Amino acid sequence: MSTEANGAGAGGERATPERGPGPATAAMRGPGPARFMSGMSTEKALDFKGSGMRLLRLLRPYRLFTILALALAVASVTLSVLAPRLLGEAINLVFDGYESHRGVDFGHVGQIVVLVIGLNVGASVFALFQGRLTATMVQRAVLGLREQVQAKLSRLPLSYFDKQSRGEILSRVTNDIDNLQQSVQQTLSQLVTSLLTIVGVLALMFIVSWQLALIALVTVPASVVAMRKLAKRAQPQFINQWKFTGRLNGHIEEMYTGHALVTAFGQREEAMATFTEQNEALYAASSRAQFISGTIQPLMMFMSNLNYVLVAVVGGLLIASGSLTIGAVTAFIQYSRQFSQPLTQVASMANLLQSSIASAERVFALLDAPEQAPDAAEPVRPDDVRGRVEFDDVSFRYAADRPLIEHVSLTVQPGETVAIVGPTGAGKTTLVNLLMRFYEIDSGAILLDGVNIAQMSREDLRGLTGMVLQDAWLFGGTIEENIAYGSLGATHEQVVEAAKATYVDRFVRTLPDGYDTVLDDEGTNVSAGERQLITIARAFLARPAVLILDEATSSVDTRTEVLIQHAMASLRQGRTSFVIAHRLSTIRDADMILVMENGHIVEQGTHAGLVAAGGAYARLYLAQFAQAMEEVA
Amino acid sequence: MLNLSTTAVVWFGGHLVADGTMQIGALTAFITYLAQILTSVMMATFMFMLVPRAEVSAERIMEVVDTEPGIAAPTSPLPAGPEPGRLELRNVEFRFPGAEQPVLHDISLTALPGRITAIIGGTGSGKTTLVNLIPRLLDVTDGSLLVGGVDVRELDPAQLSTAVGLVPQKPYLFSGTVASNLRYGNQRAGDEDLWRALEIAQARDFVERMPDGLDSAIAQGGTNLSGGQRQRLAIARALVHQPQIYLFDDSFSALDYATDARLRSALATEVTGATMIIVAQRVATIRHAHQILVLDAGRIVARGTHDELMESSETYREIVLSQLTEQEAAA
Repeated sequence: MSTEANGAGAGGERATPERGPGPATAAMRGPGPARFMSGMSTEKALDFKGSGMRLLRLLRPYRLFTILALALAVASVTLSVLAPRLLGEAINLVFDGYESHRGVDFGHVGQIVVLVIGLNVGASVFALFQGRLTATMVQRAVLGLREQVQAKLSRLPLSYFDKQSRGEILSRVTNDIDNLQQSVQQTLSQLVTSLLTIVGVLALMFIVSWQLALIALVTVPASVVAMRKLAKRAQPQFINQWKFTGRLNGHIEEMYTGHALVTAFGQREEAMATFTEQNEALYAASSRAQFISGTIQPLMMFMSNLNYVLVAVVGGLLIASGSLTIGAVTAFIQYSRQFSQPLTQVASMANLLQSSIASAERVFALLDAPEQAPDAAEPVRPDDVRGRVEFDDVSFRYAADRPLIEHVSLTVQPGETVAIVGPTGAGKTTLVNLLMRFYEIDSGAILLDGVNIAQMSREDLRGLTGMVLQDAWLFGGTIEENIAYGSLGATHEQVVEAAKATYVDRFVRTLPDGYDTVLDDEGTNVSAGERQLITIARAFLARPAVLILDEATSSVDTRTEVLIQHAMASLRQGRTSFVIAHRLSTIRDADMILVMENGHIVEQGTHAGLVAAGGAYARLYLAQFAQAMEEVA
Repeated sequence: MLNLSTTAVVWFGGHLVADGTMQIGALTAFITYLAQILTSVMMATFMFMLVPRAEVSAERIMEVVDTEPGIAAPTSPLPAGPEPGRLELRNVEFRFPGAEQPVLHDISLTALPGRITAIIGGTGSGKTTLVNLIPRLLDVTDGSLLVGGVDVRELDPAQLSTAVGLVPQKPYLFSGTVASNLRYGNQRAGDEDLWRALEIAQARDFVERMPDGLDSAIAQGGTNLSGGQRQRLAIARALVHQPQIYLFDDSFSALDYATDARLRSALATEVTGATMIIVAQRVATIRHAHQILVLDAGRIVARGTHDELMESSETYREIVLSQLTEQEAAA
């Protein structure tokens, strides 16, 4: 029973310690040498064999395809290898007929010619089918792999994404899989055909004439070795070429993004100078690389001609001594041609294979990354969601030696607004992330309406909570779709109503396409403040029981903010909300204010109470408002 | 292909050999030539496939190369005037190419050395566009903009960039080190200059805490720093540059009130004699400016000091009250 093959669907679910020490996690995650945009990774796989086997296992569901493709390859190679030998027969017939002055037996020659044509056509047809089959197989396997990665990404805990740069993960999902797809497809069909051809040609060479076969066996591999040597010399130059390409691209990207600064600081000439310098370096490296690789082709030609001459001379002697026919020699010349091509292919594929295995390893490392704990088998859902939230002695640390949240206990009644203040790094955002179960707590419990959230399914939990974040997250789609995100089946009227309540309607009406305006990825057509307003409208429409506002209005100008405050006041009505803000004005009317420092709640109470107590909050408040108050006075 | 041709050659060649018009050696030679020709033909077809692709790419490159720069350097640049810190806008209008409405209408203002000019206004009122006109990131479409009494379109670009120090809304840092970023506008600045700028920008403490101090690495875009830290480094960068005109485009927004206040008081005492243009949304930030311009939908709707504007401008009062009502309640 092929358990691995079944793994295609649920593969990542299982821990895979038995898969050998190689491709495991830590080493692969390191920052490593930057992978510049080239697909030409020079990385070597860590565990070539293990990862290679695992890669092959991906093809296991397509075993029938594999066997069929292999059979076709064998058939194709056999036919094409036989052809020169038969043609040699034909030449012999012509030659004998000529020599003996009996005239050529063109009937027989014709038969052979037709047969050879048949063989070649057959070989091509088989090769064609084999190629199609391999392509289909590889595409399907990669499709499966992509699905696995996609499913895996949704099961990875947030901490995984924190530890790795976004580009790194993106590169695995896109570049590495692409690289894998291309190189596996190429190697799989070519490698098999090449190896078979080598075996077949070699066999026939020895059948035709062992003496000539020995010559070919020396010269042809010698040329391949020479080529490899040259390629080795070229490799560092190619690495340089890619390195400088990467640097140059990095520089261009930076100058482009920072264009305003480059201009304002009058650094255009410096930028230009750096560019020229890197451009020259790239030029030098490329021309060296191209020069060396350019010598490969002539060298190969030379070696093949040398082989030709040797075979012709020795073959001629053998014919003269009568131990070989002229047809055999012509056949042999064709064989030695057929021989060198697959050899070079196999040699050049070694690099490709290395890079594809390295890519595979990086993808596997992603698939093997520890996942968030699966949802409870029988998730509990509070019967009556009212929004009562309890933190019971909750502790959480990110890295084992750095406590983030320590022994936090807290009870929030339904409908209350809780404001969290404190310096950067105090753990404010972490606290609400724990409530959303983006991270799993280390000890203690968080209860929503009496139900431990660890017992709830994440989907249920997040359906009951709404979040508006500092970085407004919008997807590429219309404004209406963005507002309705999370509220399936909302009508246009409901969307507009939510938009009106959150002051989105006003600016949407000024846009040429109104609610059908398509937001692009970077949201260049709406300002940062407007983007935030849209996410607030989204939360408004979704009407969650628990609302989390994390610096929700930081990008909005203060006049708009006041409008949003009103909107949020109505949004907060009847639901529990957690508000994180650095503008204390935002949170003055909260039912409870938590002051956090170094992962602890150091103060807790209402605004008036805390100001009167004269503690940390009062100091924070005074620092912010002393000046402002003096201005009003 | 090669195999089929060889077969054909053997067939036809066989006839010729049989007729005696051809030597058997010529036949074998012919087969070899054939192989050579076919390889070349294959290479040629490959080239034919490549050429159209290269053509398309070349066209796209030429399109970029042929584009006329929108911000043209003056043909005969003028030197800066006697008072390089003096900034003047005369009936400036700016519209993006093809846009129906201009972003800025009829803006006139004069900003003098040693004085703070503040610009306040809602999101989308054109504040950033106005600031971007000064270092010629954009060119006015009507009216004129003068730095040191010379129209910036006539001014030597090198002199313009020496005169103007921009702290953009989204602080961008280049990959390199803290020091390389700070020296961006002034390569000759010594370490003490850098520390002094960091001190004024309230960035000294966190740079000191970084593992390698001034030589600590900065990732591309400054992504290894928080928004507030980036903003303070961008301010320090402008300070190291020592321009005659400072442009702070909402540069204090990511700072908390206390840091904001300390920074501005340090600026006031340490940087004297320079022209300051401060764009802000917080009233507290611009309260003490010598003149405040209230921008709304691309027009200056009011100007004056804080006290004057509290008297005269409805829009300004609205902005102020939106920020201060809670504090009044608290007071």
